[in-house]
Amino acid sequence: MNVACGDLITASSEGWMRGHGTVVANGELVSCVAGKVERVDKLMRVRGVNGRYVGEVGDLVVGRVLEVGPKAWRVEIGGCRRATLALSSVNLPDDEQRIRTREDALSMRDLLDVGNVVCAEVQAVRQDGTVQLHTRSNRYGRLANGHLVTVPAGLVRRLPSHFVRYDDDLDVEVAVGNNGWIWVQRAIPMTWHEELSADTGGGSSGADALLTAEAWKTLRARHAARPLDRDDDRVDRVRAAIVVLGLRGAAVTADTIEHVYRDALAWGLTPPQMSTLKHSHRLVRALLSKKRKR
Amino acid sequence: MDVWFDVSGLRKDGRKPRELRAMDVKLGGPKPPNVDGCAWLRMGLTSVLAHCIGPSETKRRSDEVQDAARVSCTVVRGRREDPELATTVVRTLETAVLVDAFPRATISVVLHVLADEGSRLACCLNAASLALVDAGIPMRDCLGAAAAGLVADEVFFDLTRDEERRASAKARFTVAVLPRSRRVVSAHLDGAPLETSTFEKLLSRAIDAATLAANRLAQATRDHVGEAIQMRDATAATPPSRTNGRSTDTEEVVLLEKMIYDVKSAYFASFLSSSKHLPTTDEVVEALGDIKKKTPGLSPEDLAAALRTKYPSWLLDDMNWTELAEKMGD
Repeated sequence: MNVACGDLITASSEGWMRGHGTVVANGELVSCVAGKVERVDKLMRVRGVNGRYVGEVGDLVVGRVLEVGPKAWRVEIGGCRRATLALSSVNLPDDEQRIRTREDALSMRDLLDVGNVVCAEVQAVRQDGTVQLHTRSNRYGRLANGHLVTVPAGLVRRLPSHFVRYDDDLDVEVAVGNNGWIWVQRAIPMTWHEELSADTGGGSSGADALLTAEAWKTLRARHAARPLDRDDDRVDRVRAAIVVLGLRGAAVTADTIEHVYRDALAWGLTPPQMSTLKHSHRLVRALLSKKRKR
Repeated sequence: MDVWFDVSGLRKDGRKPRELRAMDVKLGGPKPPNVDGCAWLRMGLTSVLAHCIGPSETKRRSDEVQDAARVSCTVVRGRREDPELATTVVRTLETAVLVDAFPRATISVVLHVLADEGSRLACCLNAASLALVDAGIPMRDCLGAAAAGLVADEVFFDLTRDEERRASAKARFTVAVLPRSRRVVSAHLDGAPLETSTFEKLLSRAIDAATLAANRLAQATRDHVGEAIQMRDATAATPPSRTNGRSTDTEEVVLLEKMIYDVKSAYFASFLSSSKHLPTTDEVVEALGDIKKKTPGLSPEDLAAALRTKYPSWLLDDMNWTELAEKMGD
């Protein structure tokens, strides 16, 4: 059921749990955003289409550092307020586990400076809705040498993995932030991984990687230093594919991105052409028809 | 003397006295990257474009409201701003939006009056409320606003510019309501002083007009939201592109095969080094017990042979046999 704001959901709020997007007015349960009513057992909630990102613990977010404050960075993640990334919740460059000293606080700009793009995980959400981030994993941290695209946060649902790697002919890596900020970069070749894991003797105790933190750092640095290839429009095309999805309000998943990419390639569209009104409409229609065939 | 009614009782533009102009609503759609919600509303020939940004971080610390969101508005009319109109819009929106949900944040609305052919304020309020809805900002109710005025001793709804000029000599009410609670959140009266009875009549008519407008806007948002949700949910279930599915599948399979079968591979070594994969004495005892149960009366040599088929020999070489013998007993 689709509702506008102020529409009646149930005539009595008794026996129902008031979820997101609903208010109780005069004993009636009324929607306060425009969207679709979803019922889970006794919980009534309205899921809107648009709306700023509301943090949830464990979400992957991509953001931009706006401010270096005392003992914390302030990161713009497209939410209602800026998020904070505390100095105590990042990995130190030497991977030491210790209390952060004054020297660490003074050299914060060496780790992350204003304008840097980071990917991080939501550690906690405070009472007033502000988000606290952490980057205590080798996968998180500063991003470089790629594109940042933003789409409405509602279009990104929780995916099996928010780090998507397209191998074969695409050769592109995408970090899909739950906040609708998406990072696109050329894939780091597997051979680099293997070289480094051979150097450092392979296994580490890290759950998500065979590489050590040190190896990740060199990998990142090597990627950041990789020169741009002007003839290679694959990253640009993936970026344009995400823009198309955002423009047309289609869900952003690993599959939809790839479909739009491949369709655009098959139709011979250049990346700037893809996001024009005419072609973006065509591309998304093609997406919908794919669904119907199944 | 111009004629406001012809014989059939219609207004100059062919409407009945209590009829609103045609409304044209365009919600959402492609918008600038920093804008959260946008709406374009046309009421007759009056049209307003509204953008909503926020709720976002307040620029200046001193502007923050401790426990609620701050609403700000700019109205651009032609080349200049209209601060008076903006204040009215802010006061109205503040009562409709659930500001408590976003402490210290700012919701800013920018309105562009593209064409003004009467009922400017009502059109601005409606467009602003639509932009807020599109931005997904929770509101108590779908706000609706409309003007009603006294023209030739008759109450006209949704005045055109011509009628406005005429009505302002007597009285013109612009009212914004929350239709569910029938709450008037703003009322503006222009014109000459009124008698109480006329005032009350005009006000209640204006509320009717605003409720009518609100219902139309609500229907428009319902339609828009339905489309948007359908698009999102339909595309969310897109099947995987074939190449993608296959490539990841095979990659995983290859990796698994390497781990299981290729004893010399680095993966296998790393697996072992995590110290979980050398069979412990207990595990071996259990395995021997199993073998004994299945085929009773085996000689110790036969048992050892059976064990060899279960584990590779080089693993068993590293076993602590004395400990094993103690545990087995025989």
